[in-house]
Amino acid sequence: MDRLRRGDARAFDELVTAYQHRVFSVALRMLRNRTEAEEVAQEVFLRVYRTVAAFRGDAKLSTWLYAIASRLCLNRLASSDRRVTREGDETLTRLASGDATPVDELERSELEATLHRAIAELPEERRIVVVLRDLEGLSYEEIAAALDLELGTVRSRLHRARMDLKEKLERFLP
Amino acid sequence: MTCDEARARLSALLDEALGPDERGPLEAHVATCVDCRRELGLLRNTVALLQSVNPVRAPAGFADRVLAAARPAPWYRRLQRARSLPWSAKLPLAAAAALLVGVAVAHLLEMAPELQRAARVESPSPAVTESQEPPATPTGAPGQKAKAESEPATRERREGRARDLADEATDATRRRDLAKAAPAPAPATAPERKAESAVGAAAPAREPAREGARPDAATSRRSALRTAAAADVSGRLVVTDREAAARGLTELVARTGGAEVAKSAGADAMVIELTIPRAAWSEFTRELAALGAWTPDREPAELPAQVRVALRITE
Repeated sequence: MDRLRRGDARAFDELVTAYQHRVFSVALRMLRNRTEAEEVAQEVFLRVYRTVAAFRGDAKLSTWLYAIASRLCLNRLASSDRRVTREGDETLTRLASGDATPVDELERSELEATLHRAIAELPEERRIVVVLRDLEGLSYEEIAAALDLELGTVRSRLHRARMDLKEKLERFLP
Repeated sequence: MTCDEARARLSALLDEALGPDERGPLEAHVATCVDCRRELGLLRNTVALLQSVNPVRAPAGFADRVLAAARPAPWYRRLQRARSLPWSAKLPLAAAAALLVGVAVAHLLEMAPELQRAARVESPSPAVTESQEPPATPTGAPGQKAKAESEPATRERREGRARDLADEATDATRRRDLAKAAPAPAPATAPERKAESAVGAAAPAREPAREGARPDAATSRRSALRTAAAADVSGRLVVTDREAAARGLTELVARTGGAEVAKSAGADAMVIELTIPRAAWSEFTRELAALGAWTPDREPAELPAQVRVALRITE
């Protein structure tokens, strides 16, 4: 962290290498579009690079990264431009072309396809909580810090999200 | 605990995110309620499914692209980007660039001596014109007087031209101040005529094109005038042997704790400029009388601590 604050290029290199998949994963789960996900993920790292000097030492670096990623994703989802032009683009393109992409791999099995769709259909504020908790493994406290929410809010949003998912995945549950 | 209260906490129970005061009653309820136990089982399996999802990986080359974007772009890239800037950003940049070019041109003009001289020689310096003011000439014949009046001005003009024009203004100011400070340059000028003609013969003819009868006398006259103007005491020492007198004078200066400032020799006159401490002044004049016939042209009532003396030694 100190090395990052001093502008150490190698430290930034290591940070990007270590967190690139996690940051990109959050962005793709939230945005469902690889191009947009890459744009946002890149912006997350560039923000870290520009503002690391002002970063509070007591916060966890990963929490800070997730906080930036979540905020950028939610902001993009809230933009009206995106709602009109981007909604469902990824799915339509993928179905038409049949290209093999990591998203296709996700949907290779019926279960995965159902899971992916179920997550995507969650309201955004619940989706981000379940992504951070069940896919990224953050603690309640870390999610509360990253999303600037009360612990109780995190708990209730997560519970509702899981209940939604349970209904949609019921046929796969033993 | 009711079933609704219990189900709202099942998710937290799975995550072990409940305090003991909540967990105890909930576990007790689940242990006795079949529906809630079944619900907990479904929820546990749902979370297990979610956690079994294949991890997503960033596309190949993503890290490299991020690092490239974070590094400062080379100047030509930044320039390229600047071309697509909005006008609100471009205008101040353009203004700054124009100002920079202006400053650079001004600086270049200043640095180029030819351009500078060409610009300055066009108009005569007002400082030189001012210094042409004729000095007071209380003594001397009418003809000499007229010449004495015109000469400092001519000298000033030529000196001004010869000097580096860049120093002109300050130099002229200094000359003007000097002219004011010198009480009367003319008395020194008149007796100097004789020495000039003699000294001038030996002096190199630096300005042959000068109008007038004695072009070669210019240099010596100039130095003599300067010496006379700067000296506190000036006078003539008539001796039988100039070289012997000069040696005697050098010894005298050393004895009295003075110093020789300048010395110039002509065919039949020698001009020596020296400084003598005021304390040794009477001794100096006494000893000087032993070297030859000393006739002071000018000697102020009040002497400075270091008396500047200009001596013309003739035989």
